[in-house]
Amino acid sequence: MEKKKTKVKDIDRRIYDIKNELNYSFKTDSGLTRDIILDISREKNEPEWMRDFRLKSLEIYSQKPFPKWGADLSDLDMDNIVTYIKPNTQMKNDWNDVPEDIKNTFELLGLPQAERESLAGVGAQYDSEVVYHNIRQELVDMGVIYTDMETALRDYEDIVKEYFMKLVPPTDHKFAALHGAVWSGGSFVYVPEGVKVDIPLQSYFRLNAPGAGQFEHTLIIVEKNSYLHFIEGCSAPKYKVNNLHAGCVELFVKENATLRYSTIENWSKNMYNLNTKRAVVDKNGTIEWVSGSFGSKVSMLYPMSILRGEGARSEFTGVTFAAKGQYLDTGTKVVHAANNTTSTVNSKSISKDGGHAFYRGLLRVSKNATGCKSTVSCTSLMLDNESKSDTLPIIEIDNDNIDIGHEAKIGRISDDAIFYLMSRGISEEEAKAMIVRGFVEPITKELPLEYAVELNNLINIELEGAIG
Amino acid sequence: MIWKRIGLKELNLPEFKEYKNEFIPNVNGMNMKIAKTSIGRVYTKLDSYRGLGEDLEQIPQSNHNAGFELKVDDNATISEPLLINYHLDMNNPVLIDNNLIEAGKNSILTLIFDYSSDDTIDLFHDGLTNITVNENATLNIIKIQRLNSFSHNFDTNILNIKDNGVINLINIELGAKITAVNYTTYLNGENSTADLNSIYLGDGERKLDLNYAMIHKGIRSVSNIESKGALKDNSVKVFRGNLEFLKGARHSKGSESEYTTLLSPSVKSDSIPALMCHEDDVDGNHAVSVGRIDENKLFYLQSRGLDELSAKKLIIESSFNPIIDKIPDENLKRTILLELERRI
Repeated sequence: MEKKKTKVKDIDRRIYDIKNELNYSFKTDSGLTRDIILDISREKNEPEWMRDFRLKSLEIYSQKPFPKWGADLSDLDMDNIVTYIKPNTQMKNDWNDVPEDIKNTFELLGLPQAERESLAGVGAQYDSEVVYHNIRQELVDMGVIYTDMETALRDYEDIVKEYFMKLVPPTDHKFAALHGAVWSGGSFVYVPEGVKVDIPLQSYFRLNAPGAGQFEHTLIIVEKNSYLHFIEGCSAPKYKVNNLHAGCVELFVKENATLRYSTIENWSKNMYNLNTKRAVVDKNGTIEWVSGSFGSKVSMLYPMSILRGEGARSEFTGVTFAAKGQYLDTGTKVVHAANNTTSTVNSKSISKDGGHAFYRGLLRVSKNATGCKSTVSCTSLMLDNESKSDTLPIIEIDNDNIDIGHEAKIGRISDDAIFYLMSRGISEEEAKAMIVRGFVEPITKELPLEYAVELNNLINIELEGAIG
Repeated sequence: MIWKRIGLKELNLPEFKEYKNEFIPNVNGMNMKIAKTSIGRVYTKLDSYRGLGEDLEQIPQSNHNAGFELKVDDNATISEPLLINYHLDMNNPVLIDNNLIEAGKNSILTLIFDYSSDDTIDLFHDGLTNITVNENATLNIIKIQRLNSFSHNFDTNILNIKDNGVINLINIELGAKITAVNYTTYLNGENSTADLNSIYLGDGERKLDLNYAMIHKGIRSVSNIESKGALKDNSVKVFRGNLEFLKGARHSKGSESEYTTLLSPSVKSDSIPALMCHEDDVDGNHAVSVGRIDENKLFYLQSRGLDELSAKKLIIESSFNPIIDKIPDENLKRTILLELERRI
């Protein structure tokens, strides 16, 4: 009997592919030189220490080699990437003041609507600068700070100086150094002790200009006993030239605090997404990552949790969907550096039409971290045999008082499962659709879908029962 | 790469020395041919290096000082296991063995390699074994390494399996100061099967780097890697399981599992179980579990009158036993059990 296959359509990209005319007030030349860095710093009117930090990062960047593992980056030519493009507007806190074309883009992505309905604060970045930022007054009254990084650097310089790129130093790797040199935009969140922000904040990063890079910096500090859910969305229209995203996310979770960080990344398929995300968690704190990687040509993204306080916890839930022309190298890193820390990793990937999904993970238990527990589970679904799916978890254990379990599975939709569902009166098409939906369900249920129409679009993987 | 994980920074390769101990039984005429490999002749040309690195894989290709060529006749069923006895000592401190094994169509053979030593000096072993299992043949290979705790042990094994061929491998790593082994099995034939069981014991300052790869090319090929081990004192272990499905290996199945029991706070255990898949119609999975002995099991055994150490020994031995039981040589089996008993 010829086996039949379910067709899963590509994600409908029409909304994301809308391009606006390039309209900027300042733009650096492409490439990376000392003068460009000085231009960016001058344009931003930054304190001296930040300018020096950028220059030092540039130095580190030029000394660091490209990573020898993972994605093929030979197509990425830094000399053709414009690192800073300032849109022709100031930051606004009313959508009506945002230029019409930019506002329409975010309108189509569903951001203003989501803000009205279910978000406590929104930031919207367009190319290199944040064009809109707003937060509900009651949060401001409680002492919550949510603003763009430039404003934070101006108004809360001490805090920024204390934390900025301390968790991900420019020496970490080449693209962290690049980020340190040319970072622009991004969000800064500070939740004071004991404050529970029960409605999420969301920042949306949109890269409109062709051949450009986006290097936003997100810095979140949640103080003792506080709670925050932060959502990050990213997209860009497709161009023929390569774009680069090398953002950096630094999360500081203090004692007993919980931070949930959700990302829906839907870059266009000309994007190199080389992003660095890291969280450090103190005693009894919790970091929860929810990560959906759908877009980009090449992704290398491994959110890292450093559990440095006793009883700290991390949870990672991720879905990667690699379709035609995509190489998505994703995963997570967990370092258990204190006693009785626990971690859970649940990763799912789907590859189709020649897409290549690669799970790369690291789980490390340090010498003096006893009583740690960790479970890691990776599941991959291949929808055809043009595609590739690889799993490479690294587990490093340095003491004996631990409990570690790891599992991974690769396969396609099981005929038995389809047969079973059909025997219960469900059509073959629907059975297959159910199985694929069930496969990604652990993440769809974690996502705050009701918050933004765009997120909904992404997860709503359209299933068509065409057989063949 | 391998050196980074087990912390071996440099290795002084020994001078070429003769190896004079006898190692092969005289079995010619018993449906097979066996002869020592000629020194200097290249039997196996490795085109790409698999894990031990160019230097260590190059040596036995051309500079071997021992080894044999074995060809089992078609349709031969050889019921007695064949014992290859490589013994290192003061007078034969270096063993570079280059072995070539071919199991003829429909043949059945069991082969035991025993690498042993007695003197307490630094000995060096670097081997290369190339195995071909022809159509419908079944080959059982058991490799036991119990060199002294001053030695270096390196071993590369390349296996090719044709249609309906079966290979059952058992790798028992008990000795050497530093041991790095690589078993790469190509399941080229339709319906080919490879089963690999490994057990190891790390104690003292022992460092182990175990590489096991199964590469599925043939339709309906089946592979299984199962590794069980215990680590105590300051031992270090790296497990690398690599399960690879090439395009076209339809209806294939592969699984790898690793269980490590940790007995001392200063051990170090790394696991890298990779799963590479370029064919959708396969079933692949891997599982790793690392931890201490289950408290409940220990408590139960202690409540039956065993002291903690005996209880631990019993639990570990009971996980090793199903594999040790498969060794068809009573003397060797007893030696291994005694060795485990003494060291755990």
